[in-house]
Amino acid sequence: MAGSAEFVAQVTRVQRPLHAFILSLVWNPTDAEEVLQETNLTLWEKADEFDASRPFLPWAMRFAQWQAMAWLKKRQRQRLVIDDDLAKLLADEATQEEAESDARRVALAACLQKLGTEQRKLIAKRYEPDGSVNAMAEEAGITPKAVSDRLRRIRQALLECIRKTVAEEALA
Amino acid sequence: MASEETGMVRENTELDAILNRLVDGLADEADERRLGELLRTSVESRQTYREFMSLNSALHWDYVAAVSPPSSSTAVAPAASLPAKASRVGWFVAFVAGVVVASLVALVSRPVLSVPSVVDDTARKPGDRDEIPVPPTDALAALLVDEVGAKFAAGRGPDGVRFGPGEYELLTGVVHLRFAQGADVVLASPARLEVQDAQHTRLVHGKVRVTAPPTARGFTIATRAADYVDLGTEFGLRVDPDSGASDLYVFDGQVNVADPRSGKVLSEVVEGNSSRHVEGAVGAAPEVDADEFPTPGAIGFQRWQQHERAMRTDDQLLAFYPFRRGADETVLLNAHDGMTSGRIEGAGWTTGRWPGKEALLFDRDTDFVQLDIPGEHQELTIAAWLKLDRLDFVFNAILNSDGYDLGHVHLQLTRQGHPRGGVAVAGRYEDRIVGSPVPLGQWTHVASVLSRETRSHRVYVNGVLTLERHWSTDQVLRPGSCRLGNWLAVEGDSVTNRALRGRVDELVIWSRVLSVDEIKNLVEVGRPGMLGSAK
Repeated sequence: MAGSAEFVAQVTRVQRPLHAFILSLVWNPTDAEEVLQETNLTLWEKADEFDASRPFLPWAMRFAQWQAMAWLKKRQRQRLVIDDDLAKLLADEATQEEAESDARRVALAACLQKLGTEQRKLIAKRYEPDGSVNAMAEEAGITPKAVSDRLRRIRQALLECIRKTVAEEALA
Repeated sequence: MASEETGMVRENTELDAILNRLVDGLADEADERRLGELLRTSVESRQTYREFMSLNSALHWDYVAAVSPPSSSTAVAPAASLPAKASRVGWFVAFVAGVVVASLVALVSRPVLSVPSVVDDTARKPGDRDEIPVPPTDALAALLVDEVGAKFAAGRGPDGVRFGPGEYELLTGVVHLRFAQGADVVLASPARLEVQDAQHTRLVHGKVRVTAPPTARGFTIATRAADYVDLGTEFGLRVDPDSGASDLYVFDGQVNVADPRSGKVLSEVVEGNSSRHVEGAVGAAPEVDADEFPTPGAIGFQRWQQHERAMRTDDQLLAFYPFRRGADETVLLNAHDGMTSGRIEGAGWTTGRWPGKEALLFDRDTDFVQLDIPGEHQELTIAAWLKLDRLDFVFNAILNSDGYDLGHVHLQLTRQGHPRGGVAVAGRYEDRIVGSPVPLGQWTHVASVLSRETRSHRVYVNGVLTLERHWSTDQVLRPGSCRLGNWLAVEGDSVTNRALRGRVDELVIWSRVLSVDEIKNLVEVGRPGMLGSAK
């Protein structure tokens, strides 16, 4: 199956779910990016072992989990929170929600549009490359905690909006 | 019950606070411990955690990876005046645009001479035998799909790209016709043709190559000596203008040769075989020579070769790399007089846009071509044909100056295929994404147009404006030493690997701004054929 158009399409399709999952383990977006690339390499190497009659995401998640855990262990990070059992649990539960997480991503685009100008600016600053709460705090002359609190309210609004949108769509 | 709910709310609020501190870099060890407990013990907490992390992932991925400027840590040395803040406005504009773009990616640009509804709207009956009636109201039998150097005799040419019933005489060049029921006919000059309808054509003299899908089963070419009935195949047919003798070469499938008067099948010719008929009689079978009959792809290649010859004399060219494999396979020849050639490192020769045309395959992190674009310029246009295999990195370089000094030029794609780059300037710039990304697996033309005077950078994908960048400080363009398909990173940059994954076939650099029409013309002359090589 390696190199076939179908495999390419599958790998492409799972990039976002893999990124979200890896981010939930390594936390830092730059690290997540790197672990994702390593995962992709592994997927290509193991392409021949994939059983096309089975779902792709759970198979790919396994490699993402191994790569992320190897990454954390090597750097001795997150030991207080993430261990192999929890990582597996998160992976298993995430694969159950594959369809829903697609809907959530679509909803996010609409929800971002509903934010006020100030809120949108804050999100933009926070998530721009190398954007950080500390830099934003310095610029605005307030504490990082105050910035984080503002962001927290916006994230909460986005999550709430996504939940509502997905629920409404489920009814429609 | 009430107390349970209160407990859940408290836990959610607590978890929510921890998660926000975590992603904002403010969490402490106690937070981490508590998070571990919550995640291990509560399925709801894990769900909240996943939703929260997915949101952050999407914000980073969709609205950052796709539209982020060159990483701000690129801002070393000379670009000290290009701090992270400088990119903010541009990013925000693109961020808003990016939301719109996401819903527009389905729009695909259509080739200029694509065959529109005629083929699709005509009743297709794959099971039907020889005589499939053509709707009598539609006088259109075929469309001109492609041509090179085509000249028709006065009064014996198509109406634009439309071929109705009638006589046609091709004096020079090669044309590719697509008949309404799907038969593709490539006609080489000199030739005379009488089109009756979508399934019946008479070849008075000349050479044709016919490729017929099942929908065109029964497609018939009549000649003086015999009728040739296609049964789902590819064949070449040549009619001698003097003797009227017809030579048939079947490359694939089967062709029935019928008596032009009685309709009786004289012979069945299968792939790899040939036949000759003169005035209803059978002659000695000629040797099969497939090269004698141009393919649809060959038309594109010939057209591009004419363009290639014309290009060499353009005095505003800085570089023209036609991607022709030479005796020294490590040299990427610059066909423009007096300009230095490129040095190929790693990238391997492979097939390009047409059969017989080469390209370079960039497949490993260490693959690139080292080029030199000397001098200071007021304007630049950089155009390349590429076919992407994958987009593996945050940025995927098409052509980048080594490092990132003021005046350096970058042309790259984001992970989602949106063009990125421009010229390194001091101060702010704004990006606006207005078009579709570069698709994977299809030959695509990317043109980057830079101007010092208008302080703007525009990138066209297949002739359609896709990215616009504006900046506010004066900056001369100095591409200098560049890498094709890769980037020689600035030391300490966090986004160092920008290796391209895919093929490049043709790279041209002008010291002037090309107009949209000029770029559209480049797309037209350089595009691969409609059949076989379209993807």
